Amino acid sequence: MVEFYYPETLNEALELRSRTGALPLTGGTDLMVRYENWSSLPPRFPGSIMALKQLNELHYIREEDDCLCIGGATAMNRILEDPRIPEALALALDEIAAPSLRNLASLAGNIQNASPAADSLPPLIVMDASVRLVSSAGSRDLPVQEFITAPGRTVLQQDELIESVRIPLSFVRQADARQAEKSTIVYRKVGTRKANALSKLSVCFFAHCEDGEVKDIRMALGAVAATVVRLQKAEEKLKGISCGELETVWKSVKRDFEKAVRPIDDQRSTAFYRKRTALRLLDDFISRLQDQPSA
Amino acid sequence: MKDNKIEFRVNGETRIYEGDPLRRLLDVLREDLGLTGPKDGCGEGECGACSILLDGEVVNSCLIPVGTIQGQEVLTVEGLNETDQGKCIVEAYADAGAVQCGFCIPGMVMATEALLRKNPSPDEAAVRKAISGNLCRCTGYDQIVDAVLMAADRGKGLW
Amino acid sequence: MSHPISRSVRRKDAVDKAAGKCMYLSDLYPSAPLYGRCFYSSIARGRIVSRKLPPLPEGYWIVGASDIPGKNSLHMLIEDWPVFADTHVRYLGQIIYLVVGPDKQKILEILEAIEVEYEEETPCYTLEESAALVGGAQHGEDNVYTRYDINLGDIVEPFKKAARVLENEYYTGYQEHVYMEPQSMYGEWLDDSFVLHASAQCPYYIRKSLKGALGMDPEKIRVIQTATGGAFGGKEHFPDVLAGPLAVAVYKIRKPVKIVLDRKEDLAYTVKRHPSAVHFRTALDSDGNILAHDIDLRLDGGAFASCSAVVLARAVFTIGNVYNIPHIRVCGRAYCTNKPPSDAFRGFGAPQAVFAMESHMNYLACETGTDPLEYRQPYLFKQGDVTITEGRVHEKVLLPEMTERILEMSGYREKHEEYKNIPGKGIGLSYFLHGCGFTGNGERDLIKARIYLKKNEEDRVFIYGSNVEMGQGLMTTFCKVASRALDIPFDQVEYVQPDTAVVPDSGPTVASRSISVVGFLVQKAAEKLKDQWVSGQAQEIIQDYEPPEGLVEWDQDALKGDAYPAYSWGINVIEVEVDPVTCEVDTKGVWGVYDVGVPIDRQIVEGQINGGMVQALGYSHLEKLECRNGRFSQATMADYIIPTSMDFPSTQSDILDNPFEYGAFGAKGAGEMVFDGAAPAFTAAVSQAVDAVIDEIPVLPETIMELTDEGQ
Ligand code: FES
Ligand code: FES
Repeated sequence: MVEFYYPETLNEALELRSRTGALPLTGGTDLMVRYENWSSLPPRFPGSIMALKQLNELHYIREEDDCLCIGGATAMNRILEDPRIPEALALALDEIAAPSLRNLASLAGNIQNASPAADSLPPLIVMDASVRLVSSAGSRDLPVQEFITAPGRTVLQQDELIESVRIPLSFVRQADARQAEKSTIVYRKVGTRKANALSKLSVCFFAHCEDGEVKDIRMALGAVAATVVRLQKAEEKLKGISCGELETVWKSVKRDFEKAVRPIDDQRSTAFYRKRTALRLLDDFISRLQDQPSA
Repeated sequence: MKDNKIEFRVNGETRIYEGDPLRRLLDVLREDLGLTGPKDGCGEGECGACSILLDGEVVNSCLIPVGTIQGQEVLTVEGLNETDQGKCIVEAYADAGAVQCGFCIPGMVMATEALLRKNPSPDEAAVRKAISGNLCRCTGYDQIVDAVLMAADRGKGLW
Repeated sequence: MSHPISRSVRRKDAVDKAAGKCMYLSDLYPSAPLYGRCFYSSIARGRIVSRKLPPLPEGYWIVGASDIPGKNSLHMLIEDWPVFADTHVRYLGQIIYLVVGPDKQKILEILEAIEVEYEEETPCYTLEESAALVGGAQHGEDNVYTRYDINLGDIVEPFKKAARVLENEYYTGYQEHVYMEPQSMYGEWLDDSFVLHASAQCPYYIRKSLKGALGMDPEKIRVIQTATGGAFGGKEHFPDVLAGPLAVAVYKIRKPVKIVLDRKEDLAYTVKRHPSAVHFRTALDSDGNILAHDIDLRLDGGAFASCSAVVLARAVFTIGNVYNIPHIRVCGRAYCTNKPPSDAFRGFGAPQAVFAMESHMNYLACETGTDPLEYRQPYLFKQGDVTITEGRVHEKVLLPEMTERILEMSGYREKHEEYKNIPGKGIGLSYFLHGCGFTGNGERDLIKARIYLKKNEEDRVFIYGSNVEMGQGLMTTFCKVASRALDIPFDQVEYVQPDTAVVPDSGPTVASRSISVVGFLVQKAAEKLKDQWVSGQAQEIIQDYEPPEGLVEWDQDALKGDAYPAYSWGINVIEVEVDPVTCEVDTKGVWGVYDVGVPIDRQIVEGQINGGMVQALGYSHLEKLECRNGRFSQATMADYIIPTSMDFPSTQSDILDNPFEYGAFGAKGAGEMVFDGAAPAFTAAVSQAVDAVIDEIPVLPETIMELTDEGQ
C-alpha cells in the first residue's frame, strides 16, 4: 500500500523517513513523470511518498560556514531570482525545462535524481559544491560528485534527506565580477532544441589566471558518461603552468579526456556527436584562455 | 493535512478533497471539480496545456499530487477569465488571431498572466521565453506573441 | 489591391477557446461509465499461436476479433487493415484487444494479465527489405501497395544525347503530427444505432469504415465531430482505426465507452508521415541545361495500405514542382513494411516531392557552377504550360512577381553572395506549388460533395457540411463567404457542427479542398439563397458539386489530364547561422511569399503560414523519429522534439492576390502549401553555411558534425 505522508516539520519528516523509508517528493517533476500512470490514476510509485515542499525550514538561501546554502526544497525559480547565485549555476538553472516546471522543481531534487544529463550538476561540480544530508541521527556533508555514484544512484541512506546544497563562498568570490578579467567561467548546454529541452550534453568550465599563470582550472562535462565527469587529472596538469603554454600542454593531456568521456548513442544524440562536441568545447575554452589579454 | 482531508482554494473558493492524495491536481480539477480549462496534452510536464497558477506562480498541474497543495491557492483559466486581466488577455488572443485549434490556449493564457504579473511590459524575447514551456502545434507562436504584447499594451495599469 | 473579403474578422471560436470554455471530447466526458484501453501487439510481424485471457470480474470485457459482428476489416481505400489482429500481426502496436470496464486500475491489471504467444516472422523494416520480400511478400506479390508511372515526353533521346548525366538521392524521415489533443472518442448505443463522438477530420470516412465491420446500415452509424484540438492529417484515417474496436465493444456491451489515448500511446502507435527516398537522374546538355529527368520515388507505407495510394499520387504529380521540363519519367511506388502505417500529414506527399526536386535543383546548380536562383528561372511555369500529367497550368502564374517580392523582403541575393565568403552563414531559397482539391476526378467521381444552406424564420443562416473546424478557421471562413455572398452580417451566419445524422457529405477535411472546393459551394448556395430570399421565412438550398469547365479531362488509367484544377504557389527564403563548435543551427530569418488565390481572411491565412512554417522547420531540423526494430525510439514528448516559441524567429510573409475562378471569392487552398517549401530552403541555407551537400532531413547538428568534422 502506497502511503502519503505530509510532515509539518523537518524533525517529523526525518522521523517518518527513518521509520518508513518513504520517498521524498519535493517538486515532484521527476518522480511524477517517472511513475506516470493512466490519467486520473495515482502514479505507480514503488513505495510510500513523503511531501517536503511544505517544510519552511527547507526554503532558504543564506550564507553560513563559508558556504552559500540553498535549502533543499527551494524551487529553481526562487534560486534564480537570488542575486548571490553564481552565474554558472544561474545559467544552468535558467535553461532547465520551462518556467512552469522551474516553479516546482528543486535543485536538491535535480541532484537526487542523479541523471547523467542533469544540467545543474556540471556547475555544482565545478564549484566543488556539496550536499548536507540529515537524518534523525545527525548530519553529514558530501561533495556532490561523491554523492552521485551511477545513473539514478546516490549514497543517500534510507533515513536521510538532502537538507541543503552548499556552494563554497571562496569559489563564489573567485568567480565574482571584481575578478572577472582574471577568471573565466563557461556554461554551455547543448540541448535538443533552444528551450524546454533535455541535454545532449552540458559543460561547465572555470579558470583563474593571474600574472600569466593558470592558478586554477576546472572542467566538468554532463551527459558524456554514466555520471558527470570532472577532468581532475587534466586539471592537475594544467594548473600552475604559464598561460602561454596552455594549448600545448592541453594537447598532451587530451588522453585523459579520451579515458573519461565515454558517451552513448541514444534517442537524443549520438556518441560521436557528444564526444566531438565535448572536445571542441574544451578546445575552444582553452584557446580562448590562451588568447586572453590577461594571459 | 488533517484526517486525510486536503483543503485548498480554487478560483477563490475553498475546497476540501478527501480522495487519494497522490492523484494529479489536473485530474482533480477536471474530473472532480468540472474545471476542464486545463487540458491533458502529455501528462509529463512537457506541453504546458495543463498550466494553472498555484499561489500566483505558473505550474504544470499534471505534475502535482493534489496532497501537496494543502492551503494553497489555485487559479485556473475559468477563474482568471472572471477578472479584468483575464478578459483583457482572452480578448487580445482573439483579436491577434492567436487561436487556432485552441487546445494549447488556456495554458498559454495562464502563462501570459504569470508573465504580465511579473513584467507588465515585456518585449518579444521575454514573451517567447515566458511561453517556452507551452507547446503549440498550430500557430507557430507568432500571433500568440502578438497577442501577449497586445494584452500588455491594452491592459496598461491592470498588472 | 487586396479583396475586401480578406479583411480579418474575429474568429467565431476564438473567445470560447481562449477562455477554456470550448469543450473537447475529454472535456465533454471527463469521466465515463466505461473506459477502453487497447492491447497492442508487442512484435512487428508474426503469427498469433495462442492467447491466454485472465478471468474477468463482473462488468469487464476483453473485446477482440471474435466479437466483430461483420467483417474484420476497416474500409479505407481498400480493406486490408483489420479491426483487431486475429491470426497475424503486421506491426508492433497493432490492436489485438480492447479491454473495457469501469475502473482504470482494473483495466490495467487485466491488460497485464493477457498473454499472447507469437511465432515471429522476419519483418521488413526498410524499403530495400520490402522490395527484397524479406520474410515473404505481405501485400500482393511484390509488397507494393501502389505503383504509378509517368512518362511525359520521351526521356530516351535526351539521355542519349546528354552531355552530362547527374544523379543523386534524397531522403526524408518520419514525422509525428503531435496534435495537442490526443486521439479521443466516445461511443454509445442509442435507438438501435451506434453513435460516435470523435475528434476527427472526416466523419463520413469513419461511417464508411465501420459499415462492414458492424454489418450495419450506414444510417444506423452516426458520427458526431467534437471540437478538434489539431489534426494535420493525423485524424483523417486513424480515428477509423480506434473507432473499429470501440464500435465492436459498444455493439457488444451496449453501454458508452470512452477511449482517449495517452500521449505515449499516441506517439508510439498512431500513424506518421511517409518517409521517402527519391532518386534523380538528370540529363544535361553541354551548357548545363536540363533536358530530362528520370525519377524513382519510393514511399514507406508501413504495415497497411491506408491512404498510401493517394499520398503517392500527390507525390508523383508534384515531383515536377514549378518547372516546365518536357521530358520526365517517374516511377513511384509505395511499399509495405512492418512498421506503424504511414498516413496523411499536411502536404500529403508534396513536401517529400518538393524537398527532393528543390534539393536536386540546388545540386544541379552547384554541379554546373550556376547560381541556384538563376538556374531555376528559365524553367519556371507560365500560364498555359504543360504539367507532368499533360494537363495545363490554367491560371496566371505570379512567380516572377513573387520572386521579386521575396528578394526584396529577404535580401537573398546580396546575402547569398556575401555568405560565400563567411563560413557558418547561409541562406537558401525554394519554390513550390500545391494542387487544390482531390487528385484527378476524385471530386467529381468519388466525393460528390453536397452542402445545405438553411435559413430560419429569424433570417439566421446555417451552413451544413461535413468539413470540420480543426484549428484552420473553416467555421469562420465559411461563414464569411456566406455572409458576403448574401450581403448580411457575419454574425447572422453559423456553421453547424458536423454530425452525419444532420449534415450532408461534403467530403473529408483534407487535400486543401475545404475553402477552394466546398467554400465555392457555400458561395454558390448563398448566391442562390440571396436571389430567393424571403425575409421571415424558412428556406433551404441544396448545393451539389459541379466540376469546373475547361479542364483537360482526367484519365485515371493513363494518369493524364489535369491532376488538379488549380495550384497554390509559394517561395520561401531561410537564413541560418551554424555554430562552428557545436554545429547547432540558429535560424536567423524566415520569409515566405504566397499565392493562395484570394485569402478569405488575411489573419487566418497568416496563421496557416506561420504555423505551417514552424511545423515544417521542425520537420527539417528537429523532429527526428527513428524506428528501430519496429518501435519508435523517441517515445515521449521530451524526446520527440517539436518547436517551442524560442526555436525559430517570426515568419515574414506576403500574399499576392490571384483569384481562382472556381474557388470561393477566388480562394485556393492554403493550409498544406505553406508546409511544402521550408525543408529544401532550410537545407540549402545549412548547405551554404557548412559548404556540404545535404540530401536528407531532418538535418540535425549530429548530421552536420558528421559531414564536416575532419577530426573523425
Ligand atoms: S499535460 Fe501537463 S505539461 Fe502536458
Ligand atoms: S492552437 Fe492548436 S495547439 Fe495551439
